[in-house]
Amino acid sequence: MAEVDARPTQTPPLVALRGVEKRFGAVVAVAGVDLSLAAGEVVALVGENGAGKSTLMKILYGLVKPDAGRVFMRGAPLTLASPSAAIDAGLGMVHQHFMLFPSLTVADNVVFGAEPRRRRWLRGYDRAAACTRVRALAEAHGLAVDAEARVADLSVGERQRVEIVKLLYRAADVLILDEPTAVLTPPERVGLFAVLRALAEAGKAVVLITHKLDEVMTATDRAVVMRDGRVVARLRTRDTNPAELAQAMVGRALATAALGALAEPTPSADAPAANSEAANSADNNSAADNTADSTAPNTTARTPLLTVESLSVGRGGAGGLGDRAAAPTDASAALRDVDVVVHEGEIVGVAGVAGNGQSTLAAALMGLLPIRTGRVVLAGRDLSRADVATRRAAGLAYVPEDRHTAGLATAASVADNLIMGQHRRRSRYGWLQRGPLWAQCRALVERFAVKCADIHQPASQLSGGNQQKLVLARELTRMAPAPADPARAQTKALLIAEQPTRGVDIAAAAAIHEQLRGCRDRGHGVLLISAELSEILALADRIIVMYEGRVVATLARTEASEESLGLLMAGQA
Amino acid sequence: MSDPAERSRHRAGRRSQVLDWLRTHPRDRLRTVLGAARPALTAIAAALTLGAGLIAAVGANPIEAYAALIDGALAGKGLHNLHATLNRAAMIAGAALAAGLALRAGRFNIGVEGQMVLGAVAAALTALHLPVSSPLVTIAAAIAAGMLAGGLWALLGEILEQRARVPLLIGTLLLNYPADSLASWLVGHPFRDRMSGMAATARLPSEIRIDTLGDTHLYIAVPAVALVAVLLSGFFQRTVWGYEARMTGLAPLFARASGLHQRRQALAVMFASGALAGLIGALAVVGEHHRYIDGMLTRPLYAWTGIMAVLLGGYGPGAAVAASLFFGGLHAGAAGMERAASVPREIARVVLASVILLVAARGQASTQRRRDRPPADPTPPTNPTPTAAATPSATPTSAAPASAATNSASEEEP
Repeated sequence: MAEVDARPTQTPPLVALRGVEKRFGAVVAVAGVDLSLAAGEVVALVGENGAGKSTLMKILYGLVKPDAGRVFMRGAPLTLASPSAAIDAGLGMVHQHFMLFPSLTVADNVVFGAEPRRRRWLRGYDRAAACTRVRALAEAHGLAVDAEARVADLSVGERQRVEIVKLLYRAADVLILDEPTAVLTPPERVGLFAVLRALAEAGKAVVLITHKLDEVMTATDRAVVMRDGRVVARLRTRDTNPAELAQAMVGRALATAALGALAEPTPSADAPAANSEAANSADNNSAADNTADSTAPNTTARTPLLTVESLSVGRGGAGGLGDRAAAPTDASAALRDVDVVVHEGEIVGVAGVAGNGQSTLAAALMGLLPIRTGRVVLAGRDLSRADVATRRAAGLAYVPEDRHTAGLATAASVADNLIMGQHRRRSRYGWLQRGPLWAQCRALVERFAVKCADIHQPASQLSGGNQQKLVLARELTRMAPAPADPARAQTKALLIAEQPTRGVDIAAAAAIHEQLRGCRDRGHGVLLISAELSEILALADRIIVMYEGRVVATLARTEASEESLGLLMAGQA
Repeated sequence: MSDPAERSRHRAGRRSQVLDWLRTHPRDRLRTVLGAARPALTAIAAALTLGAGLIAAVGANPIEAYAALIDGALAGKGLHNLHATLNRAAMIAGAALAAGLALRAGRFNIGVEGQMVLGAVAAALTALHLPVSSPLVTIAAAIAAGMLAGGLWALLGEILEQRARVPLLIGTLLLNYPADSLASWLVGHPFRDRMSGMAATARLPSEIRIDTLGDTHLYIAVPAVALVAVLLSGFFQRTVWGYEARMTGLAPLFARASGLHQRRQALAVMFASGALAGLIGALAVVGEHHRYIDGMLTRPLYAWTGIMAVLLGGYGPGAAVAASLFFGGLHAGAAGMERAASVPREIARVVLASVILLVAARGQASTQRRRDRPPADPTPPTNPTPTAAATPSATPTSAAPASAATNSASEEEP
């Protein structure tokens, strides 16, 4: 692999990091990194979770102070005491979660912190001037945003453009984007990349932090790969390929199956041959009757496991216990007449742009939101009005989208997180049987390859991928029927997996996919909600597409492609 | 029925930590302890310097005053002052444990005072008027009545939240006032002991009093609260309900998505928290004052100091007790300072408050630093963190320097 850094130029690079080092306690997050960024290039910063790329960018953005090393801007040394110092120096960052005031207009948001002032009237905020300047900026860089629109009314893609305009308004020369495509539809993604290219051509330096190798390949000039706090490869994009990048990230060659799920959008590689399921008509109501004739692996009879009939949920359901009433995810979108069937031994993928009702569906199925109308039936049992505990006892399991608040108690130990649901089974007169419980935890940690020092370590100290493995380990254990419960010995369970690999590195994602397939192969059902089309295409036997709270299409995997799903997700079909 | 191999592994882990600790050079050991306790020590030093200035400003000798403070907290004839400190600390710790019990389960019971008061009144009236001849039965009934009264009062706050959507914080706070007033009226009018000349019940007959322990000046509340602290820590670590309450407090959404019955749990937790407050009130009657005197629990600010102790010291029983000892000592010492060094009570209170504020400031600062430290996962810290008070993330702060020191010492071993 060719070692390349910034393009050779006479002038010093726009930004240079020299020997930057940062340690948190005993953990070395960034170990002596050199990095140069030149004007006019788009650079991908790739690496697994905990590789140090976020910390490195936080150092550049003034959020974290390095223990050693220096930052140079156009050859002059720079002290970045705070994000505002970084902004003044011309460094800007678009965070994964947008930092916008939803109730204010685009122009208000953009100029916030550096508002144009009136000449008279106590030098108050000059909204008209703000609008003019924001409009001019947006136009000059080909960013289509309405300066006077309220941010709350904008789509996610538009909000992202507002964030970029914000940086341009502050005259940022270096733009850092942290996983910018996680929330975008495929067409929006293409639009974003065009904008980034245009910005680079206008003399900015753009850093794209990403997990997705196809993005590196299409959108960047070169890639900087980090592993264990060090830069392990600097590659020119046109001279490399996804396999080489993945190998550099992980430090070893990966199975092609894992790569297939993440790097190559088409699922042809590992698709089971015998998937000839009849297409569901556009009429959603027929979905329930449409017991498909395909033969998924390891199932002989296709028994419906979960049947959801014309499920409707109001916007922002409420009920008791103050703040806890909020659903564990951003389930504010309403659901209208949703029909879903998941058969035994089947993975049903739910595709859709975030915020179109997928999270609400998961929360409603788990009993976390009150339903307005409709029925939820699991293995012949009507659970429409049941509480969470009853649903779980009936065989529902749940990997929530937000593992930090709903999937785990991060402040509690690994063991405390693993025994949830087992703790009543293994107790005597109300006392936890800690011996057997801890032994089970150790076994689970080993079986699911969770990297942790000790089961009594706080879950917050684990990396994202290992935290997610923890959630999955617990949920899969919980859904397995208790040996002492003959009533459920034969029944199959249903796992609702919401964004199971979000923010998870390639190796962990592959392991999680393996677990989901194994779950299906044992005859359980899986409802896979994911924003990653490649993930859905790689795993699902059937795919439903949600748009504005409705199921707009049900497809067999063989009929689905990234393009067709993308159109459906955008409501254009 | 714990697996023996498991148990020995547990013990071995603890032993090796201790061995590592002993193997380090004494000088390094001292350094790690001082390093960990430094924030607390600097805060206390700064507060004492500030206090010295104030004391000098009113014309007293700061050194004498501080000597009187230490003397008032710890020394005295026959350890009298130390016992007074412990008695006071027991009341504060009892309130802290009651508030901490609720806080660990994510419930903010700010009505500990009213629950203590009602518990005390109920205990006094039961002890005086229960038509039973056996003193033992009467004492047990009095304590049970106190716990029931406190528990029901706290339960009312939770029911108001669940049924009428009165936020628990507001509900329990407001319920303090009717509780205090009811107690004042009861002992001021229908049950007033006219002989005493105070708003107080009659004295309990001598056979239904619990005396001080042996030849000390310690009331029964001291060992009782210590026992409660031990039982509570076992409850949270080892029982099904304690585990579920802890998980609810640490991550309410996680607990909800896991299928825990949070409404039922909240009712039980609030009843238990109020019952514990009621127990402390009952013990103050049966074991200390031997009657209910209007204001005997509210004037020393036991409940509020206890809530402060638990917020500063962390929600664990151990930390709550340590912080309560600290506050108990400061209170008793300030009284001593006033007596012996003729520093006005007001100045003594200012010194006291500045010590607490500075210790709190250091504690919060170190908590903040810990929160700023990016986790292993690259999630930007954007999710709105609830207020520090409502987040039961254990915040061991400098108020418990001893335990903090040992913890980080073992972590810092290479």
